[in-house]
Amino acid sequence: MSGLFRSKSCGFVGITEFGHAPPSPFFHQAKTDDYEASDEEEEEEEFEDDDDDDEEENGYDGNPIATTPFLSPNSRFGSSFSSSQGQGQGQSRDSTSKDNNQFQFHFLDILAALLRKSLVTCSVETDDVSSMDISLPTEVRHVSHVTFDRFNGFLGLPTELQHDVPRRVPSASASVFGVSAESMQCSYDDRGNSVPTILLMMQKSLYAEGGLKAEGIFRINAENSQEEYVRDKLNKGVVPRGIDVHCLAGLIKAWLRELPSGVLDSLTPEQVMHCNTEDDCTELMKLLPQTEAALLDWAINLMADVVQDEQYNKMNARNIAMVFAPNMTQMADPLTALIHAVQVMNFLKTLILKTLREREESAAEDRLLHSYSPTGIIDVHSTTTDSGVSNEQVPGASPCKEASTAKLVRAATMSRLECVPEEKLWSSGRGEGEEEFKSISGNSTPNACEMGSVENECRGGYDNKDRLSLRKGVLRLCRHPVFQLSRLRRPGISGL
Amino acid sequence: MAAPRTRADYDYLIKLLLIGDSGVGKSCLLLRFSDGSFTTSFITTIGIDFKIRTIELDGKRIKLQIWDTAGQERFRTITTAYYRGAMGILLVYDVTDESSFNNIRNWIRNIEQHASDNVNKVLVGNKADMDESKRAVPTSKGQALADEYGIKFFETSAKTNLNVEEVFFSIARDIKQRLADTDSKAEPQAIKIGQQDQGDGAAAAAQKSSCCGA
Repeated sequence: MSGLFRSKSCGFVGITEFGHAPPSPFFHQAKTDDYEASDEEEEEEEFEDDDDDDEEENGYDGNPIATTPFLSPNSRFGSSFSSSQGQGQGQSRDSTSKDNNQFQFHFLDILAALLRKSLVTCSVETDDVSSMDISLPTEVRHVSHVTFDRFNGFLGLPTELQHDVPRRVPSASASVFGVSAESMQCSYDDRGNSVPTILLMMQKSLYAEGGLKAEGIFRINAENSQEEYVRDKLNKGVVPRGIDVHCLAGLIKAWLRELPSGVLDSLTPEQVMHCNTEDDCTELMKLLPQTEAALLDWAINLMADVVQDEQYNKMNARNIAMVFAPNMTQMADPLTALIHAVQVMNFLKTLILKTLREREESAAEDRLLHSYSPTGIIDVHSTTTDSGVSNEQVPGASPCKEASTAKLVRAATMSRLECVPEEKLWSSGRGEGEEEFKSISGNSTPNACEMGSVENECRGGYDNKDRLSLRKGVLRLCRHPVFQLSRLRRPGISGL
Repeated sequence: MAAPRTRADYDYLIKLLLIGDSGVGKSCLLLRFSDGSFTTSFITTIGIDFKIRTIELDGKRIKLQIWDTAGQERFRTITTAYYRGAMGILLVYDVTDESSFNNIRNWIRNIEQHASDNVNKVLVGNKADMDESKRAVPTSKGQALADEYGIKFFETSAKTNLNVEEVFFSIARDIKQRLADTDSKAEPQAIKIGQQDQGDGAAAAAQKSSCCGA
């Protein structure tokens, strides 16, 4: 029994001393002798004293993992029991006759054993814990860098590991709703706005299901139960198929409404109130932080898309602005919120009408432009034809360069992100090859990103018009002096 | 009843509330009833709006103050604030839109939470003029739901003026009856108060005060 105590106390002292300085065997022997001399019944009390001493000695530098479990009776008995079973007992008895180095070596063993046990006994509390053996990892090497994408799962994962990962990846954030846009997976829309992918997916789904032609889209409520079901699915990272368009529209509104802070919250009600002309609204839009500005631009274009189908959905600019307005700001006081909503409605309405006018203008401009061109119809696959035409128009351009451009544009179809800088590079290299640039960008932008192209396909009727507006936007952008130096994140807005 | 004595132009002031999903035709119903007109324009209500029409019922002048609420989700926190003082609530759905009908249960739950306990309710299926092919909620289904909650049911059309007057007159009559009952009860109430309809009496008192306040 005394041996049992000795070994334990020895090991214990060893732990605390070890982290501090190489211990002297005599010092420890003296200590353990003290314990042997003392009454066994006082053991517990002394043990605590010892603990205090150690803390003093180490200036609270002692290993907290090793020391703290000893304060609980269970783990203490567990450790004393197991160390008496294991090699610890013999070692501690012989410790005085060993040289200093060996002593340290054994202490390492004891330390490791105790650490292991104290960690294990915390959770297991059984006697056979000594059979468990966990070693430090060895031969660590860097295989590959893996990133997590909320919707596409793990990217860059080696193929041999891929089957280990379940298909349905866990969400990076707890939910899709009520989370700030910054913390979400974002993608670029066809105007280069970085908006949460979930919004683009809902938008894509909405357009694909013919939501733009549904009467009262964004105004009509979906069935509450379905909305909750879909919301639940979306929170799990799944976009279910065949959702009611009003449900999708309602969830887009809900997403904006449930943001931690409203899209237009950075603007004061006074600012919005005093915003009467179109120019005022455009100026005000520039005051928004980048994320919010991108969201607003995306939303304005979504609303403009709705208004363009007014003859089917009966939603004019005022109506769509009205149903969006209360979701763009968050105000605690309902009455203020109500008054503010009217002002926000006017602000949104102005911006929608402006966007629509610009779309029309660019369409008209494009018609003019293409009346001179033999290939008036814009088609994704007509890139080379168009390039050929423009090549004739600009004598300075070499056919070789032209071909490489076509290739470049094709490459750009991979992602919008890459598309824009490439276009820019090209346009600045070309100087005022504007005519040409138009035809190229017109072809490259619609299929710039998958999302964008699908949306355009879904738009059907005014597909071309939309592409044209895009083209014009890019054109304007490139003319802007700012863009000759660096690419802005929000080309759509700044280009306006 | 304090209101009829203090004001000369009416005997009863009844506050009604129109609730229901966005786009079911609440504003159109109100416009038809108050102005006798109908507009095909698709105007969304902002927040809350009210119109007044005085009707005559059984020789009494009843001033109906009808509040039209916005069906938009975002405004629900605002509109529920107006439930409290309402004496009658018209629950409106669109017979061509099944989800608006299914959401009626949510609206009723909403009423139970925010409105006075004894508020009169009526279920209204609007757009009944629509072609049968477009109809999504059969009359029987509407009637069944109304029966379940023990409330009256009407199918209306703001466009063709079908049953619009009837709905408002019906609920006005019921509320007037309720007010008259509590009014007549008010005097002998002192004796009866200890009996089982004590709760009713308290509610009626609350009702009266809101009536005077309005």
